[in-house]
Amino acid sequence: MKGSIFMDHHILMKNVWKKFGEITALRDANLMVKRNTIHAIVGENSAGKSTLVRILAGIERMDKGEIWISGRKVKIRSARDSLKLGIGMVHQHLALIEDFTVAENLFAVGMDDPLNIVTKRRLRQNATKIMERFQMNLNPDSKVSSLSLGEKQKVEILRVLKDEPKIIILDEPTSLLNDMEAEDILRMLKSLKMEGKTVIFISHRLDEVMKVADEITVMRNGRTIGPFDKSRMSEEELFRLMFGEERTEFEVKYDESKTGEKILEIKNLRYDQKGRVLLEDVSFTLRRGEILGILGFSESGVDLFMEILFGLRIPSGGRIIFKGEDITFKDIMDRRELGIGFVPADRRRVGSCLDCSIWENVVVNVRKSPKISGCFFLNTNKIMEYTTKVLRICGIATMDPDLPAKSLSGGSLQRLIIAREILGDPDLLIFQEPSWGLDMLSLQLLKDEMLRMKNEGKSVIVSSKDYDEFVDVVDRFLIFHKGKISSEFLNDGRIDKARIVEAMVGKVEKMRG
Amino acid sequence: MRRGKEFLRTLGIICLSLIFAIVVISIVSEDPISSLKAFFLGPFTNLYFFGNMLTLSIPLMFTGLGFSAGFVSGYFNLGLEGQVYFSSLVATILGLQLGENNPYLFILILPVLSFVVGGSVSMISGMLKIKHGISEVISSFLIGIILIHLANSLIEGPLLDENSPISATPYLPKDLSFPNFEAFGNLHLGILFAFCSILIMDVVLRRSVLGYEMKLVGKNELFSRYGGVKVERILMISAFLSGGFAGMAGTVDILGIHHRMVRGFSYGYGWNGIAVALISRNRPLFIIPASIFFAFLEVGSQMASIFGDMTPELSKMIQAVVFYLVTAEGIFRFFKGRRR
Repeated sequence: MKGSIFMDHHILMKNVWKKFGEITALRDANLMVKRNTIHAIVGENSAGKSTLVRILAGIERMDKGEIWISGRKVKIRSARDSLKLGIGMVHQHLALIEDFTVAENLFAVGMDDPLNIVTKRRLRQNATKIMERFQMNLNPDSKVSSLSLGEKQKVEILRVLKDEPKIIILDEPTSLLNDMEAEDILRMLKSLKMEGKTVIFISHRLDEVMKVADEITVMRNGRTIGPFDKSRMSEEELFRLMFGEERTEFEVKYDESKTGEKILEIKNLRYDQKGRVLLEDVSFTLRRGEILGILGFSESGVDLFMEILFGLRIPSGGRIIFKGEDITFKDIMDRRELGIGFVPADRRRVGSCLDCSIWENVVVNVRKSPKISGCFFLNTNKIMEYTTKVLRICGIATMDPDLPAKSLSGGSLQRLIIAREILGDPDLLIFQEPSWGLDMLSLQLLKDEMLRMKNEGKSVIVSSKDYDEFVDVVDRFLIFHKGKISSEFLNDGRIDKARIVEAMVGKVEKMRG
Repeated sequence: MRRGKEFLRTLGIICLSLIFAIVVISIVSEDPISSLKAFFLGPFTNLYFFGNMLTLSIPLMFTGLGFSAGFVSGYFNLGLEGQVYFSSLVATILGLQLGENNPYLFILILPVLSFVVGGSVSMISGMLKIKHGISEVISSFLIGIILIHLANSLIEGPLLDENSPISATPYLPKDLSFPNFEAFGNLHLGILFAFCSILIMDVVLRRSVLGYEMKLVGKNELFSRYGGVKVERILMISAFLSGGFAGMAGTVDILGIHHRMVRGFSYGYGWNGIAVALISRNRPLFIIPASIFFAFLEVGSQMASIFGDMTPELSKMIQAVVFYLVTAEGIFRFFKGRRR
């Protein structure tokens, strides 16, 4: 009986555990993939999907567990081991050399015969051969920089295919692509299966999964459920498996009568990059005393929107009105002076200066206020007093303010940034993924701070990829999908999580009323 | 701790270069003992030599300060040499044309004028960097070279003093020169100008909002932008200060020593200024000992050639060693910082 399980499956990962520091990424995860099938792994962000396949590809090493390939127990210590076992992985992020041609990208790196002279003709021949074999029409001589994202993704896949792997892993191959390009890639997966290959692919677009997968493994908090036969599953059932069924009752209920005047108005905001529309038709208003939650996955445009709102990027169209003033093209100093604060997601490069001292990081937003300086000169005593106060709030009162910020731990740094922005006393505070690195207590304190601001008639915008992180304080959710606001939920205390997630993955079109 | 380490590294570089000097002198000299003695002790044997050493350090203080003022914000000014030379020519021309009537006023006006000229030249590179993304490393260097040739052609052409045996302009009006501290050789008022500039810059960098913003831009541009610093403006200010101090270097030298523009008088001030700035690690006060050290190498070598059997080129060799060591390290630090 046991023998047959091992023989039947091309790949078998059993009881896999993986920890990154304090975080457990995989808890007793299992993966069973039948030969010559397309196997999808689905789950919300940070459920452990990538970690699982990265272990298979030899990029990460598991702490505990077994891997069996074709009925043989194997040890995968490096990417090379994995390649020898016939496993090839296409990574989530494109890693092509933009200035090289398609042929050069395919073959110039890792030529098997180093003594052979690389000629353009030979490269082209090899490239044409492999493209014919997998029925892909790309010009081997065109520069990668001139290709569309879909074509780049194809080159990336070809690069893996040229080693003739028996097992092909694709980590979110369609997440950057538009529908047509994604369609193309999915067709390719099917033809790979026809070739007799085993395909594993990760996605959070359930519609794609339903289209091409034979079997599906669902991941949630590092655990696996499944595999399920696709033909016996409905999309709704999958949703429920991915996100759980519970409906939550919340304490905080949206009460429009408690909100004040309009503080922020976004009109038809739009952002293009190299001819691609990344953000479109974004319009909403925010009132004083409101906490607005913005949800969306990484390519949904949420992060772009937050950066535009604070002035780190200039929009291609539309208007941002703050306190009745058009701030669309105002620079960040003006925005800060008008009363906007920002906790960015990139805390190590944008939110802080790691090479600067702690006090230099703390005073950045108050450097011109009388708290810290005369009009021109800094007041050292006041700086030290202020910094000590901030450090005390962050629970690291013993730190020397003269030390560089990189001596702080990730969590302390994040608390420092949040404390700094709150103490700047803005009327609108924008948080981008603020929970990173915060423990439960700090997160609760942050929520209390948000509620305090709300009660004082100030406003908060908080973005998150985890839909339920701030559900107990947020008044209203906006959900971004593919660069647009796909829906809006008032927090009436009875939000159905599944509905929010459906909107995040684009299941629900236009629910705004 | 970190500062201690940096200090040790600087000390190491200085020691290495001095060891290099000892080795070279020992190998080349017929009478190494007296050459070494002249090299190391010569500059301190009497006030005259000591004064000349201090005099020689004055332009280095300015160019060092100039490079530093740009470097703190990540503005890498390689055009110091041209800025020194060209601004002193402009100052000289103005001094020749208008200085006759109000010489004492012009003693003050000319350094300020050359500050503005040098700063403006440097701001061209700053503008190219901000508007068109052209690296200031290249543009400032090239503009500097153009200006040097332009200035030379003026000195050799319309401004040449026909009666002079060397390529130089006519002398400035007699009273248009810095008073001289007689006992100390050539030492002149310029050293006070240098001290004041360094002191002001030190206070600005350590104690002012502007200095804070300059350092922030140098260390992390993204964070500065996020913090509301007007990065472009700060870069322009840095570029201006950088070229400005360089511009003063030459004029102060002319007002103090040459009293006219002599072709090639400033050769090397710019480059040695970079080394001085890197040794002092962007702390203006340390520029004083660093430039005196460089001047010491120069004067020491002269001593060794007068009282021993060395050639004055010795100083160039040692300075080159220091230059290689500190720039290698400095550039490494600069680009490492920039990548973040």
